[in-house]
Amino acid sequence: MDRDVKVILNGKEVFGYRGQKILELCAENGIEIPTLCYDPHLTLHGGCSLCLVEVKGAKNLVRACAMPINNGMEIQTMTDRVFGARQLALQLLFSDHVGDCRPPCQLACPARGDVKGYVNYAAEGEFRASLEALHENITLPASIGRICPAPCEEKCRRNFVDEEPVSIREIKRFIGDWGIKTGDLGTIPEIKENGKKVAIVGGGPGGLSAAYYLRRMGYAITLFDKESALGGMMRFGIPDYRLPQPVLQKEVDWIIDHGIETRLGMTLGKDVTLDELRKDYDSVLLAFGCWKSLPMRVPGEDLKGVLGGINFLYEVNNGRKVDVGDKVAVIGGGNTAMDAARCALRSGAHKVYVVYRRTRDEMPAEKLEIDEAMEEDVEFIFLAAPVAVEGDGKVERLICEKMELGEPDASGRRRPVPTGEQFTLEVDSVIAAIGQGADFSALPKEMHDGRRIATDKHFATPLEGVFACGDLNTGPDIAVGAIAEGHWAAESINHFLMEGVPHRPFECDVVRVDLGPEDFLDQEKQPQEHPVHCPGNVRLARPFEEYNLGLTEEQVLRDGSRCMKCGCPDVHECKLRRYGTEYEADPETFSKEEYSRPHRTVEANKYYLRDMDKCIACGICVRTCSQQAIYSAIDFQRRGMDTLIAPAMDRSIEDSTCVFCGQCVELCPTGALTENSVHGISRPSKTRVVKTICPYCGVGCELDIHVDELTGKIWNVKTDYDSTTSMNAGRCCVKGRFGWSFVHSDDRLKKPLIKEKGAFREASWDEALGLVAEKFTGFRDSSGPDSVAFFSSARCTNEENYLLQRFAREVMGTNNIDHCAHL
Amino acid sequence: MTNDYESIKHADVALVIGSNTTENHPVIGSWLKEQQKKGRTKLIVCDPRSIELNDYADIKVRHRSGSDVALLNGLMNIIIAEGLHDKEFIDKNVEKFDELKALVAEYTPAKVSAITGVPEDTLKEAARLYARGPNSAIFYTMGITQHQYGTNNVKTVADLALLCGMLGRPGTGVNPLRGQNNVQGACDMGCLPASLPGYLDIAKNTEKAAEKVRQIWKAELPTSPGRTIVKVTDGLAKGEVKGLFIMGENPMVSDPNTNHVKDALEKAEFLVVQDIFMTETAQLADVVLPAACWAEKDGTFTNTCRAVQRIRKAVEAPGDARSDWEIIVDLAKACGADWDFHSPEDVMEEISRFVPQYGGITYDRLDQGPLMWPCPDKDHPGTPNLYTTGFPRGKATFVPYEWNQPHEWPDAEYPFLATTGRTLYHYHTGSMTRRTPSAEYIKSLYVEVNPEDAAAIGLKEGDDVRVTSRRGSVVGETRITDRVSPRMVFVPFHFGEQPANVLTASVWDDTSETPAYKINAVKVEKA
Repeated sequence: MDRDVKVILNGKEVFGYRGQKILELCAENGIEIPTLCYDPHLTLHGGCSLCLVEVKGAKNLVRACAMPINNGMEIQTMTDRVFGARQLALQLLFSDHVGDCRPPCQLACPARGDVKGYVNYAAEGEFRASLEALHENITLPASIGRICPAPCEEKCRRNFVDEEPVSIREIKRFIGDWGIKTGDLGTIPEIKENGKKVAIVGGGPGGLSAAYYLRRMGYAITLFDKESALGGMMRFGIPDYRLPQPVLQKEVDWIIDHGIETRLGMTLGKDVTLDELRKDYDSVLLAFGCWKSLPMRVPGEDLKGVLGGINFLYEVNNGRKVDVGDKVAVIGGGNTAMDAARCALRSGAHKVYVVYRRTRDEMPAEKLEIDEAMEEDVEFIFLAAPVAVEGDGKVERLICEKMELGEPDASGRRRPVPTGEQFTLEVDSVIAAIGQGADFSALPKEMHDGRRIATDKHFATPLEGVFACGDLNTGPDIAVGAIAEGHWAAESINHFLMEGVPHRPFECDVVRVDLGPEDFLDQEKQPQEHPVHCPGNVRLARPFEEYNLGLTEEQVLRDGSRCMKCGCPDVHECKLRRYGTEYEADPETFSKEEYSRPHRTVEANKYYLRDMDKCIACGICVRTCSQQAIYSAIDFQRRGMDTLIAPAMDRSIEDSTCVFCGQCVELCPTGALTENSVHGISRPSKTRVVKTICPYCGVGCELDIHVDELTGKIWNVKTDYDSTTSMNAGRCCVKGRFGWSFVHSDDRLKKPLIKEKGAFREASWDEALGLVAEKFTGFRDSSGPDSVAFFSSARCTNEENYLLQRFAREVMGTNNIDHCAHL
Repeated sequence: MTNDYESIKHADVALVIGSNTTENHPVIGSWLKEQQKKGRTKLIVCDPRSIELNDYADIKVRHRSGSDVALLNGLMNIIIAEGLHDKEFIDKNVEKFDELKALVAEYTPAKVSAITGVPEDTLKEAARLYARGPNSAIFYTMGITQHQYGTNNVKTVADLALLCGMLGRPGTGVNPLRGQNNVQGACDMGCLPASLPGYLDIAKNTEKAAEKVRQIWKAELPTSPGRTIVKVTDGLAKGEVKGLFIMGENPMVSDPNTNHVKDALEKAEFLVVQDIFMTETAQLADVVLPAACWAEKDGTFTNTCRAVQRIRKAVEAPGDARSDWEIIVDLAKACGADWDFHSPEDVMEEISRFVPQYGGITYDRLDQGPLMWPCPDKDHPGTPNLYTTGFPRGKATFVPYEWNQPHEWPDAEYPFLATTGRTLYHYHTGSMTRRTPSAEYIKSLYVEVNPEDAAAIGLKEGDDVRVTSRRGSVVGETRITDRVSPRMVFVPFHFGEQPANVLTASVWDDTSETPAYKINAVKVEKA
């Protein structure tokens, strides 16, 4: 065809041929037009309305998949109007897509750890793969696995079955410990330097996480910290009995081993200034946390013996003996208060009170921390607030006021209301753990208001190129929150340095919140696995030693298998979600109650799952079935709001003409059709494709084997419709696509076997081949070459068949070689 | 296949005989259906069973099992009688037309209709459609070959194509669809008792063969005739064959008359089985060698249209399992041979020197895509269609055959005809597919029974049904379907615990020694 049609495409002159569609011309010129219903191997459908582009002179946007080009046409593929129209089209599609993209555990994790991935790898005994999956989003897993309050577990749908979640945190810890134990903390990839430098101030979880992700992107990182060791709050804020320092140190070292420069003992504003960093680095990330204890604002606060919670923990964690006296009052109800109370016990106090102004139900501290503090005989005084500290030069008593609960406040918790009734605690020290703030003294005024740092949602401060993350950005939060902040800030910095503007990654997630116990009645109950409990007195006898020894391997395998693999298996391949993310479409724009098609089936067969709630009616499967598979097993049934894709006459797939070639599954742009063979887990993040030929019939279809790089096992088999080396041009049958799992079957032969007295025993290759050689040469020499025979195989390669006949003829001297060509 | 896949798109007519294409070669089946649906190709389907492809057939020829030669002779009779044969092509390219003409003259439509059960009009329509083409292709598989007179069937198919000049052009050809991934390659590589790699006939070209062996292997060629599988089995039973080495085969399930095979293998003094699973055959072995499977090794397969293609290692083999080629190399060394192969590519390098048809095949070239042999040198693009410029031996020859009654035929005691075969969901002896999701979909043996017979026997869908021949019996689940004719049952052979081959006879085609799987007189009862 002559390329004689001149088109101005995004301002550039290009030539196409007559009748060519805009979308095809764009593809030729490297411009991807989003579409969910167009496939070059199928007829046109034109239903998704995503491929809209702007054509000069046309009143409306036009569909690029259907509109042919003509001479002089001027096309813009990405204007604000186009972006908005595509976003709207996606939001309308989402209104009819009852999905469940990422599982609730993952969405509950601030760092979006791939819980389903690492838990299931662990359950299969693939510990290294699990560790690698963890590192995708969660650094320091052995440490986080000890201290995280595990918001993931709270959302785990296993709670609907057993009233107990999967032991996600303990599994994470086991995997992290496995890395430390084996000395294999994970692959450190070869880093492709991009020539840009980033300074990170603060080596806590936020700074370390940012350093890790930026380093892997190719940035040269210098990590500054005022302390002599890295780890920040995890190192200096968390007692050793919860997180032993060697564990943290090994994990920190592994991150630094990626080639990160560290500058320890450097305080911002003293040893180095922000201006200097801005001059020397392409970007600066501030992640120095919240290390200032907030004051109680009561009289007597300046007395000797009044300590800030975090300051107290800092001293203890530095191994310095703090004299707290015999009786201690800790003010506050968070984890810092719990740590402080328990460290006070371990620092020589005999009586420790926790004074909290609400009740136990409102305490922000983790339940386990509270339970353990109680076991250690910490006395909790609820509904009480400090009003004054008294003493002669040093603390002697704490005056408290009794409180009662009133109306809920902004946080949703009931507000403590003073009653006017007071009581006195005789104490030697008061530890105020009521909150922490950041120290802004090293920052210019425009960067903060004294309480909060000024950042936008992309972590950018008003100073160009300067970013902030972690506790410094959010206020005190859990460690995994800082790890998340570090990761997203790293992405934003990367966007800033590569594209010129900061941008926090957007991820589009369709969320299901309508599920409850009644949706899981078919699940078998199986209780959660717990670590061995260590009683309080034993713990206190070895005050700073770790007492939770975690789960055993058997427990991890058992508990991991409790995972119900929630979320959509197609999440990493779903085109709808990919475009939703790209166009930042909010799936909740239009309510599903009003817009979603009702009564759609979820139907499993032996090969794939049809979840028609996720179907967007693009018709790719219908066209694939009739135009590639040539079966027409399915079609659009009913009309209007009731439209659905199904076999005729409401039959199930297994009762239809479907032959399970799976081509529709491969081309389905959403998770409406997904393979069973991926174990219900989403595709691994790292796969490689190996092109090979099907092992079944003689057609010789080219297959793409997708190998999970983390386990080295086959993930699934696909075909390539655009392959230049394929004879089947994408087509295949049920055996080619779904017939591979025998490869990893447990009963594969793994050792040479020799039969003795009617039973097989294992042997080495040398012994087995030696025996075969001895017997065969023996027959040859005693009974003549034709006393031995060989059957080769139509299943083996040309090379193998060639060698076997050469062996028969040359080495054995016989033509007794045949294979079952006729069977 | 004489022609490649692209050629299918150029066929005006496709005659499919003895091939359940959509189940056994599904992708080729999809092309045939697509062509027919788009109105580009007329489809003639000749099969005793009403296979799925029959639903798309323009002409449905449901001839009796074992009547193929009669059917084909009948078509040729009509073609010659109506003057539709390609006289010019025959004059130029084919010998002994008169012999063919004389023989098929006896096969009048009336006579053929009586033998085959196909109406005369249908025979005439099919003959005319095929002969008029302009481009007609024939596709066949085991429905043609697995008979006592399978060679006659094959040659008669070739006669039909020659008669109408349907060779040497895209859209024509005689296209046997090979059943196994590398059955073509195993033949090409000389895993046949009578010929060296590249089909160099040892008996006919002894000196040439011996010289090649001296040159490339630096060895002497054995010239005593080799035994075929069937004769090896007999030799074992008689004690003439003492040692047997089986690489990747499971004759306990795949070979006819299972009980006879078992006796023979048990008589072997030393049996070695190299496989990926502990198959029914491996259990009888003295030594079992664990092999890497297809996804765990590099190499080449040659498909049904002679395309040599690369397979590539995707994953590691389990435990100590090793690639078959490595095992053979080490075994040769253990026997004192001085072999120097370090990779499949090294072997292909030797193959390209030994096998003229593979002369131009290298791994580098295969990375760019398949090459269809003959590909004699490095610059040769490969040969998608054979015989485009005539036949290598000068002229082809018509080899007509009379139709013979099959070895066994339903009688009063065994009134049904059982035919064995494969299904879409399983493959061969099932050692691979029965460890995949298909194992759950089709769990065990089923037997297809015509509704008329089911009613007469009192069988309901899913009932256990016993099929018994003179040699043995199997029990499967009843599937009632008019895909099989009355008085016929279909028994797939994938299920080792109910092996269809206990039914089949130790009867072979004399020339090819292909077992006569398709015809077995049986009785059918409720189990």
